[in-house]
Amino acid sequence: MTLTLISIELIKIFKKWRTYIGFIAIGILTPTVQLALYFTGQRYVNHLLRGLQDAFVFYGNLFNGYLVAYLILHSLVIHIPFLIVLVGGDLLAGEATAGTYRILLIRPVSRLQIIVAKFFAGIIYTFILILWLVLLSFILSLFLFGSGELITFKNKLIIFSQNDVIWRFVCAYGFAALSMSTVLTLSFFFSSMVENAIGPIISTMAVIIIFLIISAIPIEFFQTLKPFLFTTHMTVWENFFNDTVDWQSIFNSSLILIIHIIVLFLFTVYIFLKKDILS
Amino acid sequence: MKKVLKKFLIFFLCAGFTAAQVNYAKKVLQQVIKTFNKIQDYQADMEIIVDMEFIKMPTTKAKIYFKQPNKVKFESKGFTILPKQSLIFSPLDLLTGDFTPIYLRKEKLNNYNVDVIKVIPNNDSSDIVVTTLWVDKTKHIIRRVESIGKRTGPIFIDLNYDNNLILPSTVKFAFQDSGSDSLTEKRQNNSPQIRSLPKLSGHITINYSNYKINQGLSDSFFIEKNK
Repeated sequence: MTLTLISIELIKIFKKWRTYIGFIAIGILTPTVQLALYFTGQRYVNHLLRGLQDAFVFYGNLFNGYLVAYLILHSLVIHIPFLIVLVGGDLLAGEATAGTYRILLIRPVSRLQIIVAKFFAGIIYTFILILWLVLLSFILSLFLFGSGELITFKNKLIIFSQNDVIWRFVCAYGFAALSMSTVLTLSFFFSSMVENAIGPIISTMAVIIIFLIISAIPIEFFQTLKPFLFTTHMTVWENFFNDTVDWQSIFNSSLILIIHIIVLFLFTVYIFLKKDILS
Repeated sequence: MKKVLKKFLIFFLCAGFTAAQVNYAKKVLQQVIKTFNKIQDYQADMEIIVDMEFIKMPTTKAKIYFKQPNKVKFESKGFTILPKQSLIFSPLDLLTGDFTPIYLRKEKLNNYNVDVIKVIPNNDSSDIVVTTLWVDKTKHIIRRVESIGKRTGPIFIDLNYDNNLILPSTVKFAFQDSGSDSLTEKRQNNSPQIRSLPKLSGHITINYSNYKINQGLSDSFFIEKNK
C-alpha cells in the first residue's frame, strides 16, 4: 500500500512544472561550466602547478573529466538546496494551496501512511536530482574530457591515481544525497506548518543562510554551536578527496545529518497528525 | 725588492696550482664522457616515487628511451612529475657549455674513491649557479651531484649503480627549500588570498630496471614522438 502511495506521490511531484526547474538548472549550469572549463581548464591546472615549473617537468594530462566533475561538484552542491526546497516545500503545503487536503485524507489510508509516502517520494526526488547531477557532471565530463588522475589542492597538491578516484566520487555523491535529504526534510517540516509553498521555501533557505553566517562568525558561542548545525556537515563530502580519509569525521557528520532527518521527520509527523485540516 | 719577488712567486704558484686543478678536473670529466659514450642507446623502465612536502601522489611507472647524442623518448600511461635534473640523460648535457671545472679534493663516498669537482658556469645565463660532482675514480661514473640553481634551492642527487652497469639503477633527488631569493620573492609578492608557493623540500626516487643497452634504436623511433 505504502509503495502505491509513494508512486502516486511521485507522479504528483513529476506532474508539476516546478519539479523540473532543478533538472533544467543543472542541465544548463553543468554544460556551461564544462564549456568554460574546456577553454580555461588547463589554466586552472597550470595555476595549481605554478611555482613548480622551475624545478620539475610534468608528463600527462591532469585536466580531465574527473577534475571537471570535482570542480562542478564543488560549485554546485552549495546551490542545490534551493532546487531541493522547491519540491520539498510544496509536498504538504501544495495540497493546502490546491485545496486537496481533505480529498486526500478521506481516502482509506492513514495520515501516517500519507506523510510517510510523501516524505519518501521527496527523498526519491532528491536522489533522482543528484543522479541527474552525476550523469551531467561526472559521466558527461568523462565522456567529453576523458579520464586520468585527479588533482586537488588542500594545503598541498594531492594527485589521486585513476583507480583511486571513482569510489571517492561515489561516496561524495552519496554524502551529497544525504545532505540534500536533510534540506528536503527541513523544507518538508516547514511545509507541514503552512498552507502556501512559498513560506517553506523561503524559511528553509533562510535557515541555511543563517546557519552558514553563524558558522562563519568567529565568536566562541557560535563556534560552540557550529558542530550541531547541519550546514556544517553538508560540506563533509570534501573529506573523501583528502589524502587520508577521516572516516570518523564522516561517520559523525552522517550521524548528525541522519539525526536531523529523523527528528525533523518525527516533528513533521506529529504536526501533520494533529493538524486541523480546514481546506 | 725581495718582498715584491716573494709576492710574484706566490701569485705564480697559486696560478699554476689553479691551472693544474682545472686541467685535472677537465681530464676527469672527459673520462666520464668517454665512459658514457660507450652507450649508443638505451631503454629502461622507470618507477618514480615522489615524497615531497608540497605534493602527494602515487608511485608512477614510465619508460625511457635514449639515443646519442640527445634523442629522448618518454612514455608514461599516467601523470608523472620529474625533476628537471632527471632529464639530463647524458653527462654531455651536464658538461656542455661554457664552464670551469675545478678539482676540489678526493674522498671516500660510500666506500668508493671519488674525485670531487666543482663546475662553475662562466656566464650568467645559466640556471645553475654551481654544480659539484662526485666522480668515481675507478669506473669514471658520477656518484653524486649537488646542484644549486638560481630559481631553486640546493638539489642533491645520489646515483646508485648495479654491478658492471654505467647507467644508474636508482637516482635519488633530495630537495631542500632554502628559501631561494626567487621563491621567497614570489611568496612575498602574493596576496594572502593566493596560496603560498610550495616548499620544494623532499625526495624523488627514480628506480631504473630492465635496461636494454645498444639495441640499435632507430632515429625514426624518436621522430614519431614529436609527431
